Amino acid sequence: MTAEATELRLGLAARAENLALVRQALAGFADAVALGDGTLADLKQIATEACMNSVVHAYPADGEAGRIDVTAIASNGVVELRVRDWGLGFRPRPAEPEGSLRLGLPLIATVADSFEIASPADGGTLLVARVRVADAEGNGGGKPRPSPPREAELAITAGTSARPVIARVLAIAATRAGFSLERMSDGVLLGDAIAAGDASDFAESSVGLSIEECGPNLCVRVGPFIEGGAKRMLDRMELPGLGVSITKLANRVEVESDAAGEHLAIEFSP
Amino acid sequence: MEVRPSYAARDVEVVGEVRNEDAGDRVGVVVLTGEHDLGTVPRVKEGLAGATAAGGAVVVDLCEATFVDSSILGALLEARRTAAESGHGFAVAFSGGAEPVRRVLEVTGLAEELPVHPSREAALAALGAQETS
Repeated sequence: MTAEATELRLGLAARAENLALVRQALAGFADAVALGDGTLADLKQIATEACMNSVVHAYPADGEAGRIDVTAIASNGVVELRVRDWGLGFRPRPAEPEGSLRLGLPLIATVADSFEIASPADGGTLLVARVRVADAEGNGGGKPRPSPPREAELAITAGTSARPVIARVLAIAATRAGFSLERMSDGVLLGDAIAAGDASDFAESSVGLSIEECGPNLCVRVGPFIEGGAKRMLDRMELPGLGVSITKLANRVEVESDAAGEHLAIEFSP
Repeated sequence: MEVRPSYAARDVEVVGEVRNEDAGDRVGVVVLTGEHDLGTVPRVKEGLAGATAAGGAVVVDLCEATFVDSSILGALLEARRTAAESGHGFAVAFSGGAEPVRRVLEVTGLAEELPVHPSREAALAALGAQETS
């Protein structure tokens, strides 16, 4: 793929027979900038579905064909495809034409790495989809997917807003893990203690919490902290009014330090 | 930009054709070649209607199709419903040649839903099994 941006612009009458023309132009474009077959297949599908939406929905069937502009821009390993019409705009459609699968937009959403639909101020609809480029051997394309959390993870701005969120999430996690009501209350206390921590001990402006069931137990990981922050939080985790340390409520409390920063690992049993 | 003398690799059959064939034993085969979209969906529907009207099972052969969009998938599902309502089998054959067809069948889940068989022979065999079971 060439380093500089390569741009293709097409202006078409919004008619079904022009969809093939768009695909052939894209095939030529794919040749010109050396895109792989998988990328070309995705671009053809997106362009066809987007143009079909314009042909079928944008312009009244009994009127003259409207205009569709298709633009493809390849740069920095991404192809951006823009399909623009000046029709009736994007609207909810309670009644679909007979035989419609309503598959068009979901299909675009599935094959594009990202896409959005806008209603430009001067009317009509603009659909913009981006596809990461696979080279001719098929390497490098496809959507990058973040690895799933082992169970659930959340981040909430440190300070007073953290308390109700963390307490509720820990309570539902404890319920799901079959904890007794009393142990659930301990979970809520833990949440309160975490939320009451000093925001400046965290490495980011938010409190991160990951929760997973580890065997019959519940494992909670809090962080990331700045260096020494986890230990300071632990020292402060004297539960207000009870005189009981968090270390007594939990089976295991450890400060873990790795490339992801410093974390506090806490394990509870039901 | 370099001028490339050949684009043979992408020199696909642009115009979509629809052909009805009789596979005997009360099975109608509808063959789609080339690219199919909203522009050819009337012809595809006509071919499917012809096959279902013959009163037997229907096989849609996509082995030589190079592109299908959601309007064609809608027509296939509609034909399958019509066949099922009259108690006849329906199967799709696709040997996996054209990337756009393979991809759309895969991402929509229709490869399993329709279902799709790897050859016309396999589709016919599956229908035979269905009709006798």
